[in-house]
Amino acid sequence: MSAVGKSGSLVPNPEASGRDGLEVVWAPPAKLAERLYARAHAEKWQLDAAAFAEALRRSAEHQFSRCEGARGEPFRPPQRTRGPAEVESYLDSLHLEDLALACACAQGNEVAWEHFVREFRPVLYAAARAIAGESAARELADSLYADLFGLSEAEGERKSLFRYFHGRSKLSTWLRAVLAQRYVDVLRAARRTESLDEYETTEDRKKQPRTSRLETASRSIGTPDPERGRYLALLQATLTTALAALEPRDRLRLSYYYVQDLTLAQIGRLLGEHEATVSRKLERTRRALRKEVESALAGDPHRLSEAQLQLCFQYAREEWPFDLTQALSAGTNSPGGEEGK
Amino acid sequence: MDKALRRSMSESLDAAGKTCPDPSLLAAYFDRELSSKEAAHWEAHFSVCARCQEQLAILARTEPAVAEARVAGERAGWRQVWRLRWLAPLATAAAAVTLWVVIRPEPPTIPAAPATVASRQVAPATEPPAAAKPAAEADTVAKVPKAERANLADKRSVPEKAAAAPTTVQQVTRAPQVEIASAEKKDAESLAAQAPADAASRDRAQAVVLAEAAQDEMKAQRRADAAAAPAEGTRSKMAAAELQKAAPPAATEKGRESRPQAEAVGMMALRAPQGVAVSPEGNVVWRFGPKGLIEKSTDAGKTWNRQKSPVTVDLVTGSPPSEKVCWAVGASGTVLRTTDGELWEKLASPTTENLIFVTARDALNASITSNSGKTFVTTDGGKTWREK
Repeated sequence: MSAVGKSGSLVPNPEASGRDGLEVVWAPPAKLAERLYARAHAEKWQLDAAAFAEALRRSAEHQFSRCEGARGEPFRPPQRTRGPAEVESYLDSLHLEDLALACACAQGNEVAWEHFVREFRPVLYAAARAIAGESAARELADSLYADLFGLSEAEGERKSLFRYFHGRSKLSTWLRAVLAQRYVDVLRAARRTESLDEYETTEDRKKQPRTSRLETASRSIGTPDPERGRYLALLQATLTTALAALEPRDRLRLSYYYVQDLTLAQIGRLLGEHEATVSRKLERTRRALRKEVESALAGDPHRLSEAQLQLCFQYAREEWPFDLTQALSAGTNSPGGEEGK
Repeated sequence: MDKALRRSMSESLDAAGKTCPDPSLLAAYFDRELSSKEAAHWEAHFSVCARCQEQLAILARTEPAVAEARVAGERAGWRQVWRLRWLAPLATAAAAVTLWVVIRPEPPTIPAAPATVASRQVAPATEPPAAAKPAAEADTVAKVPKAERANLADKRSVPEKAAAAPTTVQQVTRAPQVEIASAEKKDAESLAAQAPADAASRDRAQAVVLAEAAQDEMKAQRRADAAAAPAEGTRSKMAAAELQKAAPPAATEKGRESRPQAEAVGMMALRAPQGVAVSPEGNVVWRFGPKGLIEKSTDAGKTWNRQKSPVTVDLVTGSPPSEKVCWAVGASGTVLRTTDGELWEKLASPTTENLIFVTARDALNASITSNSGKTFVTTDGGKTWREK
């Protein structure tokens, strides 16, 4: 049924299908499973060896499988075979104790749950408070807790959210990440709803061509320069292009700083850089962007003069009606332009 | 131009939502468990996906930990270079530091204070001196065999006393100062270890020191011996993340990326809380603070003596290449040095920018870094400096 290398290598088998319809089926060789079980101290929870081996298997599949779709693109194109050494090395690198605990909890093991309640439940609730604020924290945490507990039983089988923990990170980080994702998704859904409510207004606004909206705006602040709209549009276009050409990390850094409003330290935490490095690189990126924009505007086909360039930036300082979202994305339609600062 | 950029984004490509990694991968990325290739692959996605950025931002903002201490080489294979760059140098002999962090819940419910013990390696508590007005210091002298994790939700400052327990040590040698941040009562439950601790007065300061637990963090968390260590000073700030936010770059001393050794020392300095500098011998420790404060301990941090300081500006950190020689830097380009361990002299400085980091090899060779990232090197004991 499965194309499993005798030595425990991971071999894709187009005919076999794993638990979640994955194409790769594999089981850790007994010795490896035993060793990892011991490292995980899974006996603490009297965890069933087969269950733990299954958790290991699922973790390896999650990492190496070709399954696309809900989980997103696979990390890399699937190879014919994953050598046993690679798989073993991967499994060895996991947070095994956390994985064992999660596995035991998923099984409803009482001792494990007791431990989880004592050691992790507070973390969960504290994280929810930190993420969502006092009022919303309770609900956020409760719902996750319930899902972990596996209250929703499908097909008579207790389905705990723990089965999505694969040991690649600490359990606590994973809990926080799940909370963060839920929270963000709720926020984003709310935002979309809100903008729908304001549909009329923005829709009306959208009907106006961008330039004329700008001119209206510029007129409203008493600057009669008819070129204003054009300059701002040019600036946005070149800036967008320049941003799109940035290295991912540079773009990320910028985004964390300008969109997420993170501190230098927090950005450094995310990118693995020192604060001073973050600051330095941000500055470098800013300068590079400015240079890029200036040369794009000064060159063909726009050929702005020095004075015109200055005017460009001055207008931008005064008023920036455009939404530069596209700059950091692939150009989705963003709702209108913002006015003022 | 700045404003133009600030105008930018928000809802990025929604289509990206279809290819977003699941939380287990985001968590692994955040914990720096991904290989450099994997990380780069996902960063390409993150850079155009607002949804992922928002999640990552939340993780960064609400991180309970203060710093990472990781046993380099603990895990094989999948540890990637860029992560090692950040952490590996800690394994250097000079950088073995262990910290104990004890966090205690509010008295009513729990009689004993849970002690969270940190890391087998460098313990990082970054206490930005300038940010927290009062100099906060807690002495901890304890070593733990395993890394423990302290979870602190927030800093409503329950006063706690840092308790440290000496236990067997894997890697030895230093007794850094630790500032312990108090955790909320509820969070106290999350603390792994239970340890007896004396009640601390309201003005006890604490910093959180977080050490990443290794594979057996669960087990390690259980371990908690705590010997009381007096906590001095007061601190009003919370997790390092927040501290760092408020703090001037002083809080994070940087080594240069391209020089592993400088990095190692840099990381050390980064980890040492509140301008603590530990000499290679381990028993002699200096600490620096606001208004020119210099203190020295010869018993690995148990007792401290104030030393005469030639300046009254805030001092940030120091670097002692030996028990007798120590360099220190601080605000407005201040560079100090002692060559006998007792008397401090102010040296000529190449800059008037605030200095945030210093690393010294001996009485003549040292390198300092300003908060704008400029680095200066001297090879003649500070008479002349050269910018790098």
